[in-house]
Amino acid sequence: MPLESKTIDPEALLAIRDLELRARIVVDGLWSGLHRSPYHGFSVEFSEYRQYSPGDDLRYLDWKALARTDREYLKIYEDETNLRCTIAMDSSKSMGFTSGSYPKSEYAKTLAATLSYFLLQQRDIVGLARFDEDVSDYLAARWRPGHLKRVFALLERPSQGLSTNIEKTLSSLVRICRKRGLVILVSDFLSDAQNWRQALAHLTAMGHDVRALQILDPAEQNLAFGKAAYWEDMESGDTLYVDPDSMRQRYRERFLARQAQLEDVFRTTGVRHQIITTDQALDQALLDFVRNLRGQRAARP
Amino acid sequence: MSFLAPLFLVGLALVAGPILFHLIRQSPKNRIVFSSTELLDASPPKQQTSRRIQNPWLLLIRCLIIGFLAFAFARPFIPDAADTLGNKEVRRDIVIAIDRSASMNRPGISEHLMEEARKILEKLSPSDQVSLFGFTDTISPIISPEQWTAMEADRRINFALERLESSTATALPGLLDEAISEAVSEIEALRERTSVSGFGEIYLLSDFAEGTRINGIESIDWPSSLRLNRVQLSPEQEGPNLSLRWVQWSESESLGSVANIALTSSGEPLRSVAEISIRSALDDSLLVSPSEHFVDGNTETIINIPVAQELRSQPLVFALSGDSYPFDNKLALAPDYIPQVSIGLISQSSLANESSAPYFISKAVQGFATPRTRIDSQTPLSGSHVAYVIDRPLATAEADSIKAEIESGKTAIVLAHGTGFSDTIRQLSGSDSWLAENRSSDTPLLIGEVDFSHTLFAPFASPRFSNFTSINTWQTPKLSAPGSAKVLARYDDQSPLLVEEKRGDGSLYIWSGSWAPPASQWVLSSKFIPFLHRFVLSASGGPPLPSNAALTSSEIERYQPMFPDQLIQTPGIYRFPRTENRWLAIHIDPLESKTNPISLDQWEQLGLPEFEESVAQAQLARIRSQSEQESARTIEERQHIWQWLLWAVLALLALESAVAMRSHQRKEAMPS
Repeated sequence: MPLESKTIDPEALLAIRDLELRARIVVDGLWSGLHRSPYHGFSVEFSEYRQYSPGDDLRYLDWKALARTDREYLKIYEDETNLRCTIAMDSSKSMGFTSGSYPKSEYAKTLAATLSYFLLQQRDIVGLARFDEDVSDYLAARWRPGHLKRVFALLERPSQGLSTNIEKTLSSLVRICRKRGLVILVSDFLSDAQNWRQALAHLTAMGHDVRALQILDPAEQNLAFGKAAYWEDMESGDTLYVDPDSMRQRYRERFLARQAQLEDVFRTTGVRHQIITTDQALDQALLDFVRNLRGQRAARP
Repeated sequence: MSFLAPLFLVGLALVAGPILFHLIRQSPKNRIVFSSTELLDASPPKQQTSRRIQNPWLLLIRCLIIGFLAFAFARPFIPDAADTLGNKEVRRDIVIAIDRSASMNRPGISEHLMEEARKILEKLSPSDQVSLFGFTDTISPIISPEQWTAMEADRRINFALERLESSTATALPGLLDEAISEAVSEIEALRERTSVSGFGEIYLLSDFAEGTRINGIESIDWPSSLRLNRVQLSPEQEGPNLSLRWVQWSESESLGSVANIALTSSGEPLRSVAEISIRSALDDSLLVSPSEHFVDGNTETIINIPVAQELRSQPLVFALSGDSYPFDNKLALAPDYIPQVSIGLISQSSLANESSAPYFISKAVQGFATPRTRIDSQTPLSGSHVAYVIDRPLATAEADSIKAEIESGKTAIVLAHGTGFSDTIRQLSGSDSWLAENRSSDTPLLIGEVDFSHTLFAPFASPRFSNFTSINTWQTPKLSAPGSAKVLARYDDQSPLLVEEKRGDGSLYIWSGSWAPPASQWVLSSKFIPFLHRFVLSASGGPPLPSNAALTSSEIERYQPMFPDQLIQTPGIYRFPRTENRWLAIHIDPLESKTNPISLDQWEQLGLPEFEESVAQAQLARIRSQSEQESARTIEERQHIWQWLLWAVLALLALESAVAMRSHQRKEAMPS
């Protein structure tokens, strides 16, 4: 039985201008959902749940939750938190795409804000890096008063909107994130993963727990969008005449193939991958992320 | 439909603009941005078989806007079906001036006139405006433009010819400059009658004899688009014209009493023989047998014809023969009329008293040529006098008698040389405001102020004669006159010298002072006799009209009132009614006898505008074009089609905005 969450309509949420308020709403909503869950009465020490991953220590398995929900959850205690977390957010041009009323960038920004807020509530320390062709802005993880506000301010800063170079970004993150911690990559990952596989592996090899949150517009998944017209690539500017109706099937196949490639790269590098579409409720996305948090690194093949 | 400014229709070409714009514009670009086209393939573009016009309704509206604007600027109008002004024939304003002076009485001229007039009338078109008049020294309308227009077109020529036939030549002189000036004015009047310009033509039908007055032609202001046509009329027979002009009576040692006559020949430079006889104007009896006289061509000769002295006092007719033109071959002559008047002189002094006013008065009137004046001091109150000179105070009965005479139209002058004249003056004037009183000083008075506009002093108006200041007067009472009296002269102390008061039909003059030399230098001055003569003339009705006059319109106007039972229209002798032995002789103006046509040199000197036919045609074409334009403009201004088109443009603009907005909204609402 899944945890109940009161989903918040992303469109309504993103209509709120204040980023901090959005974050609060999502996180508070998440907490209220958690408190309404059947899992009352957790220990004070108990900090959070994490979904079981093969290889985790079975001593922390919550057998009761398993019995109730038929799903494996590990109890994580306070002493296991206080993560150093760096959120690397894609602010390239492609993140400006939307098939609805708000672009991916706005969704990603809210997600990053929400994550920051949540993590800081957990007394984790959070840093923020924005990237397009490289890391363009970096706020080191700190635990000091007003840091959250600085994170929000950086998130609000307009981006230059350049093209994406994940390889370079990851290389920069290797240099920037010297201490081991959690690195959350928030991007659409619309590029050939083979190009940055090695850089990603380098990052994970440093001991970082890397999570990839892939932000996609539903139209990018299924091409249920547009009409026969000249389609312009937002980053390269290339234009070609596309009839989506005739292209859709092939696009899906290619998309799935790329996604498979992407997943393979993540898997082989030990990166947790989560796909979040912009029509998905943010609180649900956060909940899923939280559940996946603290999982052991995926076993290398 | 026609257009006032068809050039603006070129603007219709601008309709191509919106058409091209709608064709080549690629509507809303059909461009979609996508995050990454890496996974996309180019699709073959959809077949566009032909360029399609986007938004055809919007295009139509825009084309209509441009089209309507072009039409509006071109000022369209719908010509009237019955638009007579639009017909291509140019209207002409025609004035035909016919010479009706005495020289036009020569044989054959009237026939020639009718022939030429017919030719002119037959060339007229129904749309022409025509005015026809005859001229001598005045203008006589024959057919007015209104009469011409009212007449049916096919009857106009005969109507005009009938009028011309009934309008014959006169014995009056001709003033060609007046006739041309009148014709020009008539043309301008004709043009003002219509709003469409016409071409003006003046036809002058005349013999253009050199005796006609032409010197005023130079100052005529010629309007544009006006042609002057001179139609020279000639008698059936060319030859010299002989005429007579009276000069004077004279005495010749050899011939005795002689009539001096000027014999003139004009025309051909040939010597002519004239036969002149003298007849009685009363019974046409031959008084002097015909005598022959020679005269060279184009010259004037004074001839002497013996005439018995006793014949001078009767009206005569000098008859001439020897030329082909008898219109001026008779010269009537009336003896000069000298009126005789008497002045009643009422005085205590006799005419023989050389130091009295009566003496000087009687001597002065003896020199009057006319009227012949007699002074009656014996029966001054007889009532047969034209004027009275009162040199002593009058008794009441005398004053009443004189007063009645004055009121019946007589004139009286009172020489008030004492205060005793006050009563007389009051009685004659009927006003008690008069007063004659003694002066406080014996200082001689000079004449200070004179009204030279009054008939008594008019002869002295010239600066040569206007000095009265050397005439001294003594012993003169000081007059006080009522306000109704008019002071004609004053002494240098501003007291009245001569006062006039109108009484009934006559006049009363009061002279302050005596005319006797001991009291005044007046009768001894050079002013006295002319003054007295003016007084007598004024009292007798002015100088008599001459007994001989040329037949002109102004003379007819002067003399006709004296002849209520006769019309003075032709040369001859007219007896004055109510006056015995007084005649009036009317003769043709001698200038009319100069029948040579005006020379080309003289015409050229007048500066008349000359028209080449090509110039006239060009003007006609211009007027035709102007006429069409004006006609079109009038119709267009009446129809105002351009205003409706502009309203339509405004409505279309509003519609275009609405349609464009709707189209834009529809595009934005299309699913992306």
